[in-house]
Amino acid sequence: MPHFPILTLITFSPLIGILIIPFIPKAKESLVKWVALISTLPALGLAVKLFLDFDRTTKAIQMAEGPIDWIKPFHIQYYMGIDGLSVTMVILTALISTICIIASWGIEKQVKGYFTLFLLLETGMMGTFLALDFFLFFIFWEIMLLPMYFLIGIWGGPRREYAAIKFFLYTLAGSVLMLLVLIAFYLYSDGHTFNLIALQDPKLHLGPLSSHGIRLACWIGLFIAFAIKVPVFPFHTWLPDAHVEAPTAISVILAGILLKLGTYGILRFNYQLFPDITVELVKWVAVLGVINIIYGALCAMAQKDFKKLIAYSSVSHMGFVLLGIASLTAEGITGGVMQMFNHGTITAQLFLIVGIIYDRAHHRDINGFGGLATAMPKYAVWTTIAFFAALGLPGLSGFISEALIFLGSFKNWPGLTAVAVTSVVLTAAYMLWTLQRVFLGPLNEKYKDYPDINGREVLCLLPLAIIVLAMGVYPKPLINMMSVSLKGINEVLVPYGAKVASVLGM
Amino acid sequence: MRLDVLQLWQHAWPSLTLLIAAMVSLLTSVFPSRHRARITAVLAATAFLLSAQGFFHQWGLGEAKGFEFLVVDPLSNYLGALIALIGFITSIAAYPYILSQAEAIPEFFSLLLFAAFGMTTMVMTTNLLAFVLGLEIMSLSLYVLVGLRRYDPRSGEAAFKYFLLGSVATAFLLFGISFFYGSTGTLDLSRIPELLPNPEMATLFKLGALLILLGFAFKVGAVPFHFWAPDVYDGAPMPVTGFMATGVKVAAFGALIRVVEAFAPRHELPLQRWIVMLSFATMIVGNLVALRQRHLKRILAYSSIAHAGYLLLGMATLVGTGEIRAAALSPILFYLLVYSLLTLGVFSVLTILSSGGQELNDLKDLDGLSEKRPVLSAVLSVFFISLAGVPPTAGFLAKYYLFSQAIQVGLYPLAIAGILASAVSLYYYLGPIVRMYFHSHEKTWQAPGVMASLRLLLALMVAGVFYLGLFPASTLEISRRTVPIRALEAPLASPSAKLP
Repeated sequence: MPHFPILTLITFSPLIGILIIPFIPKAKESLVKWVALISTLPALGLAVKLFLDFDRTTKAIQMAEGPIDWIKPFHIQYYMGIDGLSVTMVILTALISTICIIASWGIEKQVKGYFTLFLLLETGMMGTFLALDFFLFFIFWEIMLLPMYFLIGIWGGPRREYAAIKFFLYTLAGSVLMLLVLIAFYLYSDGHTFNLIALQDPKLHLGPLSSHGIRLACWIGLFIAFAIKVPVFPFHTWLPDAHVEAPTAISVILAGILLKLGTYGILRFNYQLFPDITVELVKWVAVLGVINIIYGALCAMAQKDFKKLIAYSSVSHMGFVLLGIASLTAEGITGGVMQMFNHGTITAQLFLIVGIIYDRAHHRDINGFGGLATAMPKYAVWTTIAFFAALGLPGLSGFISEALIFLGSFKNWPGLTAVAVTSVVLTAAYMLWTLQRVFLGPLNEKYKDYPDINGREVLCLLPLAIIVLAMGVYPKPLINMMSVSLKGINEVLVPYGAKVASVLGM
Repeated sequence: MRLDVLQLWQHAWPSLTLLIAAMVSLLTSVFPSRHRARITAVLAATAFLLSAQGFFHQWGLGEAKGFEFLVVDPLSNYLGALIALIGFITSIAAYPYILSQAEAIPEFFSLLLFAAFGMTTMVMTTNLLAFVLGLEIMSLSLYVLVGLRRYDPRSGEAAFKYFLLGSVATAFLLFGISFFYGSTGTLDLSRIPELLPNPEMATLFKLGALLILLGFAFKVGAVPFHFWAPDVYDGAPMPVTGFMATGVKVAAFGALIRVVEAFAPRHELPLQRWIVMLSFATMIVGNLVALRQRHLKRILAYSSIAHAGYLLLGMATLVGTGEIRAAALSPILFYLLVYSLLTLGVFSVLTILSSGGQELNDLKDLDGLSEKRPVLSAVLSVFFISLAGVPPTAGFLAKYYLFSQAIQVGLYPLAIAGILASAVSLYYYLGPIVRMYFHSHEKTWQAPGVMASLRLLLALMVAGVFYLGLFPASTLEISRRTVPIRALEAPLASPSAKLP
């Protein structure tokens, strides 16, 4: 029975703006920003509706649209759906997109182009989280690539061209691997289907797809494709460059949403299509996760550039997600996906904060600041909230997800978890040290007259800060939304020898 | 059997229309020069459109008929329609360019028509001698077209080079044909299946087949017979380069399909190995050398070589066995359509930009174009991105179709090499885009505004890029129902052969 196509609308509603923007006369360019803002609002509204209507008791796909034939000769279908894994990501995407339009209000160069590409990017991100057909997923995945490339390459910093092409080539390498796996599924699945839900049934994997060697190759191909996005060490080198050069709002999108696509992909593809290989290799995912945590934290500590520091802290925090999903416990995976959401909200604040000071000082040298708390007291408060959330202070959301991850992963990987826990100290060290260098000490005369944080900037930070506080005190709504589906993902691994454990009886 | 003129007209009129229009347009030289260009342009565009419509209509009838040396079947009609459309787009895009030249040369349009007539002849025959005839009509017209800017030494050099090397290619082909005739006693490819293997003549037959293949490899610009392409592309006037990059490819690949179809059942020929080697070398060399080019037309020349490599990969798939053959033809046909659309799109925009009297040459010439001509820059970017094979555009789907079919018949290394090579290609297609958007503008643009008809055409072409990428089902169906005459007669490779 056809129902209200909420997922299609949430994906394609930003495109309305793209249809209007070209016809706005050049003299009224400020109108472009309003049109862009308004065209992200339907998705935000529908995301709220999703939050209210989402059925928290089932692990099945909900609100599905399709599968209907799209390109029939190739058995490609239009199939969108949502479950506990993707619902939080969709809500996050809608929220961050609207915030980023507000954060982009200062853009003056080629305004129309910027907001057109931005809206296209939002559609790509939404589609990637919602698509349940491998081919459709791949198309959305690629749709994100070019807007991001241009947004960094045209509106970025001095080395934007280098950063943009590096981002592009890394992601492209991943796409090629994904394409090969995609063709393998087309040729060797029963019924030549791309339906990701149907393909979870291993009986559909025929011919070479049922042989261990090919499955291993496919798993690794997909993992690398997603690992580049996360980014997992040693595929992370594009990230600091991209972040440093990208304009503020694009950094927020990159860290807040795009990185999550990597871990989302691992859970949606590697875990659900190849559970046997996942159980075999999950140890290495955990090892990579710990490397990310420690390596990212150490790199962050060594940075002098404020934005690069935040970029490396992202590498470290995404390592927690990997460790969580590699734990094969209900708590660990729930913690991992929750960390995806929390990192999205926290790191978005961090990049906005860097952007605010960069707009005033036009540099990001941490050692060049000092005593800013005197000149910009309100700004210092907002920064402290975000920093404390990032270092996992109890009472803020980052603590909950990290605690769940450690609880879960200790059960299966006690040694690795012990190593990872040391990062709590490292994170606190670089975060607090940065706070000290930027805000404390004697005030640099240059910064005396800087205006404090303004209304538009507060508008961007406020919703994120509220979420961070609320989820830190009462995380149940978030956990309830995802836990049933994530438990389902975990249980699929049992027949393949996974010792699924539960600590808290979740 | 006497050739029935009326029947010939009835079936081959779309092709003959081009010939008649070419002749008539020569007569228009009695008009004073300014009107002359306009009249021939209108005449050519009308003839091309009429011819395309005719081919398409005949394709719809779906019949297959062989004459003395001509063949009218869905394959010839599909390719004929494509050639006529290429001619149509070229003649519209070229009109302001021709007017802007130091001396407007209305003969451009007559030669375009002659060349297109040659091309349609090439795809409408299985007779080797008629192939050569069509090839020469096409080539002779193109030699002149390449040298059209005769006051420009580079144009003259390109024409001369093209003439010399083109003659060598024809020599290869004629050599091969004579060996083939000597060993089999026929010039008609369609009679190959009847021939019994003749051990005494085996070497001669093999040599003949190889030389014929190489002759066509030359024309499609396959490595190692590609050396003429960059120089000729670089020196030729912009619209002629576009016409060559698309029309010649379609015609030569159309002829190659007939040759490969005919030779494929002869298992004594290592046909697949030959084509696989050609394809491999062409994809790798074309894409890698393109990375190092600084001239726009040279980048496009190597890009067209690279695309010839992908199409040869399709050819290698075609030399499969049994049922797969009909399924393997349709990706090639679809790819030819998409490639022509995209390449013509690129060249149409470049022709507009060259219509200020100054030929666009270096990549640097595109610096900062997005600020001066935002719409044209966006259109050009769409075509480049699609050529690189980025979804959701037509270029991606065409490549996907081609490569997945190659994997289907087990050509794993070749298909993976193709996918990697095409990933590399994105880098040099981004080059012009980086110039247009990321670099600031230094030069003043003299290119005039765009005619309304050309604007409409470009809009349709951009729409086509997305339409074929997002909703390709009906076009795929057309390409899958397009089969050569032999397949229509033989139930083995019927069009209903199931695709996975």
